[in-house]
Amino acid sequence: MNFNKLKKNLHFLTPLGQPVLAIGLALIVGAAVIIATGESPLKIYGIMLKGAFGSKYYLLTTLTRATPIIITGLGAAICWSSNYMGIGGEGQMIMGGFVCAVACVHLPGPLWFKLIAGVILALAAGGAYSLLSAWLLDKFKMSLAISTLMLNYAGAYIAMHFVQNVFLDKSGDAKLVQTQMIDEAIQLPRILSDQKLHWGFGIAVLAVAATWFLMNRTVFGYEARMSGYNIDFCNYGGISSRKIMYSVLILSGVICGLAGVIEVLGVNYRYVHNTYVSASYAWIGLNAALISGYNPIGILLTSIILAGISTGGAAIARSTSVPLEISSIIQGCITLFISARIVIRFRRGKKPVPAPLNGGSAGRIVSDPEGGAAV
Amino acid sequence: MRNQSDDVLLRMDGIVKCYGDLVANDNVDLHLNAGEILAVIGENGAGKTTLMKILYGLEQPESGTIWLKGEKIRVRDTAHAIANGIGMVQQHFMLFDPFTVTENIVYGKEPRRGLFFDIDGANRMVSDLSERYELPVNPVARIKGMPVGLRQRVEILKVLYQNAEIIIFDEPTAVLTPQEVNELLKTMRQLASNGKSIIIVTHKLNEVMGVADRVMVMRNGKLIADLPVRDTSIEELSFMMVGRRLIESAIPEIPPGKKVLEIENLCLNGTGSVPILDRVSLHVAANEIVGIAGVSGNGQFELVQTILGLIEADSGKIQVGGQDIFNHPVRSVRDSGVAMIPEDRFIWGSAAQAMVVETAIMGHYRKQEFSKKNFLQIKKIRSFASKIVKEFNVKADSILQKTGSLSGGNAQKLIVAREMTQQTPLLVACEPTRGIDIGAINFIHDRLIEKRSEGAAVLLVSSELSEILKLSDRIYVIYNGRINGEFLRGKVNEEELGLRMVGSIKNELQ
Ligand SMILES: Nc1ncnc2c1ncn2[C@@H]1O[C@H](COP(=O)(O)OP(=O)(O)OP(=O)(O)O)[C@@H](O)[C@H]1O
Ligand SMILES: [Mg+2]
Repeated sequence: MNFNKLKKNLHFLTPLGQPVLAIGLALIVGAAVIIATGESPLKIYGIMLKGAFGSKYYLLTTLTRATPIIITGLGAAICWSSNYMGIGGEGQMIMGGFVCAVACVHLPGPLWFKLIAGVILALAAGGAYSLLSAWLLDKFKMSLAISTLMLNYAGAYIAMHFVQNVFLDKSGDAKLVQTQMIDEAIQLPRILSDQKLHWGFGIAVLAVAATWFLMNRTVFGYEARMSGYNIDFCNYGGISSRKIMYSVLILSGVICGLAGVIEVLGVNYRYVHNTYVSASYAWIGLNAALISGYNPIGILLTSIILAGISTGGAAIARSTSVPLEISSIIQGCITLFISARIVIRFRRGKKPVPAPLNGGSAGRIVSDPEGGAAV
Repeated sequence: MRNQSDDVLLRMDGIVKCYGDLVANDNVDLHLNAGEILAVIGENGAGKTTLMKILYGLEQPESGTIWLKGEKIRVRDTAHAIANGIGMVQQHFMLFDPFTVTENIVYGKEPRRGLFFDIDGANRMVSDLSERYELPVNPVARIKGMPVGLRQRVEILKVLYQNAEIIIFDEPTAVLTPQEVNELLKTMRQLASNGKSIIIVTHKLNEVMGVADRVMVMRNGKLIADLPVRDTSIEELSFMMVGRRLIESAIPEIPPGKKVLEIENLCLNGTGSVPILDRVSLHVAANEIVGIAGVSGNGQFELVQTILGLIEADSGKIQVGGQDIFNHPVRSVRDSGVAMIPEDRFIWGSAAQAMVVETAIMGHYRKQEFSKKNFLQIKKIRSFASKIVKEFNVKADSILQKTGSLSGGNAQKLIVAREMTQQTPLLVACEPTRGIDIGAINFIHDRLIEKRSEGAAVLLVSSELSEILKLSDRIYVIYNGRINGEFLRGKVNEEELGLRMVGSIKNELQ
């Protein structure tokens, strides 16, 4: 049969099937919405494509926007691939950005010291914030999904409180809740002098490579991946699942903290309340991780596509009557179609798997080490 | 013969199923008469499970047709199979532990009174069913804590409740005690005499001879023989399956060396009123295979899990090579020179989603050959995996294939290969040949003997008495968490072992 042969030859493309399908379906839904607003989808998508990747300026804007998405995506991938479904990227990113911005201004000493200490403190803050959820899970069996979600809100308000009451920048437009600007000498340089894109994007690409290496070529990566597959198998092989749980969650917090650091050093040069939340970088990052099945290289590509949908959406809003929300709708649909897969996987995981023939504990759940957390 | 009629109930014609380049079923024909018991046998990876999955709607064939009572059907999914009167007793039972027998049986097809679940009616129906087919169960008992044999009975009742005419069993006896096996075989005959048709996939030829009317032999995806059981013999079947005569190799006599594993007064209380392990003392020396004979559920698996450090014991002493490992974490136990074949290949032994090469290094990946300073030596790992796959004849397309896509027996061989090729002074082997075909069993037995002759200590836990008797230089019997007798090779017969295993003869010393 011809079709079978084709199927066989395209075998290697199967991991791409899900994301392509999700993005395709989302674009169809988007097209329906565009038609409802009385415009032609082809024309609008054309404008969108141009607005996202059509010129050097647009392309570089998209890449700038993709940078925090890539990094938070990597952070999410690290814990999700071990089956710890933390959604605290936003809170951790806020902690990283806030601590970095404050330290780079208020620490004593020379600039280079402020920078290095600021970055280290910021990464530690992101890691520590994630450690808190890990500890709640370990000690009180508190669902990771709930604790990380709550800490996202808490993080935003803690940062706001301190910015407003302690570190507020009173020099400029006093209405904005933001810290003082960091010295120009310790800002991340731009890749092209007249464009927005900064070396943070380079760091993100390096982080992609490093994460790939960590997951695929190190003992830690092997252990982490195996714990995502089957905890009993790991216990039997001598892997401490508790250690893995703490390490992947802390590491994922550090990486999300890095996303905040890069936004501070490369884009805003200060911590501005609500910027990360309103751009929902961490959520789009999580999306990118899910879409690409936690594959770092896939995360790089999907993050750029997702960022392109946002910048392209802005272009549509500028030049046509279609509202800006169109990009949110498309992104929302992608999430929906991707999470449809997650739900299926999750429900399958709930099926009872026979307990060891002798053991007392039974009906263990294979894909859910955190004991019944909701997704 | 039984009231078996020769009108064909089910016919599968020219079934072809491919996975990538691999042809798992190559133009296979099968037919089944009403009231007949058909056995399907063949080497690991021959395609038996695949054929059954196609019949039960779990897989779709590339080509081929299925005829049921003279009508052509396409089994789209399991619900469709059930609607057509085809049921399957899964090897890994799909029961919900916290629920009762009845709730599990009627799940998906609950009797109702008005809008509500009619629990009394359901219990009554289950009682009736259980009486009619002489499968005693307590409808209101919970599944949790039930022995495997009873769980399987619940599965059978579930299939009967769904009104199955054709019942498929895929290796149903692999995890049962000999007693439970006998009961199951009796049940099958009973079902057949009630007009049900049965297909049983098995590696145990005595079961084929004992229960089946007809036997189908598969090799490499093809059907190579289909003949009435009364016209054949175990020898002929085994020759057809393996393609050669099996030679029992002699076991060289070697005096035992220094003690490698020493356990003294090991106690594990557990949560029940009786301790799981009660003052167990035993040892295994170099150049020695020591068997633990026991009916499963008498503490033997807890014993090995305690040795490996998966369960914390309450008191006692465990040493490997003179080094204390009592209640040490698994990693340090393994580092002290222990390898272990676990009793269940998909719970402990592997991860279905992990690649073959990833499964092949579990427990040993920290060793010099596989990783240096926390970096994996990918090339060496891959060549190691390829080597053991070849050596142990694991039928796999590629070492990058998912472990879950191997046939049951091939996954088992992979795990056995992983633990046996490590040069550890002690190997703990639990049910090493479970689900493995007779040719490969012979190979693994030879390798175990070789390992022992090269100086390793082997602790063998098996519910196959014949395996224990064939391989062990010394045998301990375990009963109710206690050692109930110790024998040297040749100093005990099967009968006495059997009696000690069920506690009819007790050790006066204890
Ligand atoms: N999902 C899958 N993907 C790829 N290959 C598969 C898959 N399922 C089965 N196979 C391959 O098909 C072949 C037949 O497998 P099957 O499970 O039918 O064997 P079997 O006869 O039941 O063997 P065993 O006695 O070991 O249970 C095997 O070589 C196996 O690797
Ligand atoms: Mg099978």
